[in-house]
Parts: sequence; C-alpha cells; structure tokens
Amino acid sequence: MRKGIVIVLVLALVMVFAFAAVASAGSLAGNTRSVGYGVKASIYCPASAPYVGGSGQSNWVSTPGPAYWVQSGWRYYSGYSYAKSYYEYSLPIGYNLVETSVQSWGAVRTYEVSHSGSGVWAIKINNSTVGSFGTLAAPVYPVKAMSESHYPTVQLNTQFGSVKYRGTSTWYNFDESGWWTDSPYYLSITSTYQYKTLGP
Amino acid sequence: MRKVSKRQVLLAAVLIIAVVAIIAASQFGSAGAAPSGDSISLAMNELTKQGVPVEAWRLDGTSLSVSLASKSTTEVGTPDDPINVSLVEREAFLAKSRGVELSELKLDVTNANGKSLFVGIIVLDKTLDPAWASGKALSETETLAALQSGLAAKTDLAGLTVKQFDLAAAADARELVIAATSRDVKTANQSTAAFMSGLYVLLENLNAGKQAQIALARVQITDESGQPLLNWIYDGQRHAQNWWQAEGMTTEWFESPGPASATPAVE
Repeated sequence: MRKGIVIVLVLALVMVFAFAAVASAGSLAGNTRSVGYGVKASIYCPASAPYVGGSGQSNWVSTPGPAYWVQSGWRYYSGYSYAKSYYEYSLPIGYNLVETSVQSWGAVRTYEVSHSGSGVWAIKINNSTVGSFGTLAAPVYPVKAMSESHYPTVQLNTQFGSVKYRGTSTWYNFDESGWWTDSPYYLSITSTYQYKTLGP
Repeated sequence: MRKVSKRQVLLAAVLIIAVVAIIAASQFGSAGAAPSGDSISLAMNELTKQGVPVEAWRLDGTSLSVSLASKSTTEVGTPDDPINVSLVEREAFLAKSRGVELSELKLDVTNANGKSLFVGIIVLDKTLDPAWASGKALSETETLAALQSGLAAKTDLAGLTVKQFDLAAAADARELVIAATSRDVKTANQSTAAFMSGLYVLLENLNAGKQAQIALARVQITDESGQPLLNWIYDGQRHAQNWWQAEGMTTEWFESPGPASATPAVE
C-alpha cells in the first residue's frame, strides 16, 4: 500500500517535469483504390532499422476509416528491436491490436484484409488466416495500402509490391492513381500497384 | 409378434434420453463431461467470476464458440466490452497452452436488445512461450521500480493525475493496474498518446528482457465526474491490446487509416 503511494507521488512529480509529447497525428503515404471487397500487398521491411526517434511507423493494408476499420501490416516503434507484424481493428465493440511475430529487416510478407461474407473481414499474413472480424459492411470506399508515420522526422523507406484489390470475388492489381502523400513524405512510383514510400 | 409393455417403452425412452444427454454434455457448456469440456467449463466459470457476461459456450471438436451479453442498449459497445473480449481470448489461449485441443475461438457479442455488436473468429495457433517463466523473475519491488523509472523516462503525464498504480503479485502472471483522472477529453489528450505508446513498449521490453512477468495490465482514465475516457487492457502473453475510448480521445498512439472516400466509385 505504502509502495503504491510512493509510486503515485513519484508519478505526480513526473507530471510536473513532463516531457514533450512524442506522438503526433499520423502522416500517410501510399495508394488507394476507390472501392473494394479486399486489399492485399507484399510489404517489405527496409534492409535495416529506419530512424523513428521517439515515435514510430506502420505500413499496412486497410479498409478506410474514419470510425471503423480492419487492417494488417508491420509496425516499428521507438524501443522495438525489430519490426513486428500486426493486425488491428476498430469496430463498434471497440479496438484491438495484436502483434503476431517479428518481420526481419529486408524481409517481405504479404498482408491481406478481405471480406468473407456477412460483414466479416478475414485477415491473412503470408496467406495464413490469423482472424476474422466484423461487422463492417462491404464493399468499402476506398481500400488502402500505405505507410503511416507518427512524427515528421520518422524515416519511411517501404516498398509495396503486388498491391491488389478484390472485386466481388477476383483479385486485380491496383489500377487507379489514388495517391496520397502527407508532407514531408513522397513516393517513388513504378506503377499503381508497385511503389515505395519515402521521406522525409 | 411379442407385445411390448408400457414399462419397457418407458425404459427404452429413458435410455434414449440418457444417451442423448451424455452426447450433449460432451459438446455443450452446461455439462462438460469430456476432459476438454471440463477444462473449458472451468475457464468459463472463472470468466463469470470475473464478471465477464458469458451467456453461452459450446465446443465443437476443436472450435470453441462463446457468446457474450453486453449491457449496451445501443449499436456500440460499452467500455467493458473490449475488456471482456480480451479476457475470453486469453482464457482460450491459456486453455490451449494447458493442452486442450483448440484451433479457433468464435466469439460473438450481442447488446441488451439481442442485436449483434461483434463477431470474431480468432485462429488459435499459438501457445504460451516457454520463455515466459524461464529464468529468474524480476522481484515485485524491482518490477515496480523498473516501471516507475521507465515511465518517468519515456512518457509525459501532463493532464493526467494518477490515482492508482498497483502491481498484483501472482505466480508467473502479475497484473498491473493504473487508474488516472483528467479534467476532460481535451486535457487527457495532452499526454495519453505518449503515455500509452510508452507504456506498451515498456511492458513488452520488461517482460522480454527482464522477466517482469506482467501478464496483464489495465489502464483506466476517467474524467472528473467519473465517466470513462479510456479503458485499456494489455495481455503480455499474447502481445495484445484491447480498449474502449470516449469520442474525441486521441488516436495518435495506434494506427488509423484516415478518412473514407466521399464519393464511391464504380467497382
């Protein structure tokens, strides 16, 4: 009990000498496809750990927000030794974020979020289903394959390959220039379905 | 043909009912005669003791189905619902780790009006990492000190007043509870993102590198009138976070995909 009081006092002191916030609104870079029943991509890790300072980044495929979504990709934050594959949802029940395993530097994994029926979305990492969650009506507008930085000095250097959307049942390459780049990030574009997120 | 007496008919009926009951007991949560069923039954009873509203459960082979009854009367969950979802997933994970053959957890949550709030099918392909309890665990005092210094170094608590910071001791599975208050959403948002991202990394690193064995952590932030702003649970053995947050609370400490398209296009 006394130990708890001491801790509370110490934390109260920390409040007085608070540090500046390390997180910032997410900046996005990548491509979107106007409508889809699913999205998948090969998402590479850079050859070595990117600079994230006290913040972090994630690289994902996702249904859109702003309120509800289902997504999967890799994330790397300050204090991490490696990038980690994850899946996340925001649904009427609340939020869930699960890190599944390490994705090594230089390695590629396929990430997929696709509608499996009745508003339920299946998440696959390297073609293995990790979970299915709902409900979220399909199709969605748009589907996204992007990098997300939580601070402008965070370094993005992520290759997206074979970025596909699903029609009612068939998978197609992203075929639209639904590019999105928040400053200070930019894209090196090979095609609408193959690009690299870079910056600052 | 030999005449069958009423007594024989009655006996046959009782025998048929008994056979059906035994089969049903091996499959449904109300009885649980099989070893797997027993183990799951114990887990579900434990959840009920913790206040998790388990309405029904069923074991079909290696597929476990659990239905939760939310207190919500709307189309969105209550602050407790994501916590309950996490606790059910945890019990399924622990049951599999104990040797129960489980391949998936089918979870559904309905509101007080019987409307579906959530459907989840979680693939159960992992068991407890043997490294979790290997080696010498950090003592409770050392763990508290490490949490204290780690938070002081990494996080900003401006706008939050910590009311509770307790570490409950348990063999191989400690539980951290942090309760804080803030004047309102805007004030809480000054530091919640930094605090939550810093806390998660700290917990993961203390567990992986220092054998802190913090299996569960909870953060509850309320406003001055006691209304919940954030209700978060971390499961260190599954590397999972579930949470509810009030409208307007920051989303800066986790991934969010941005806006939808305003104008749906042709498929």
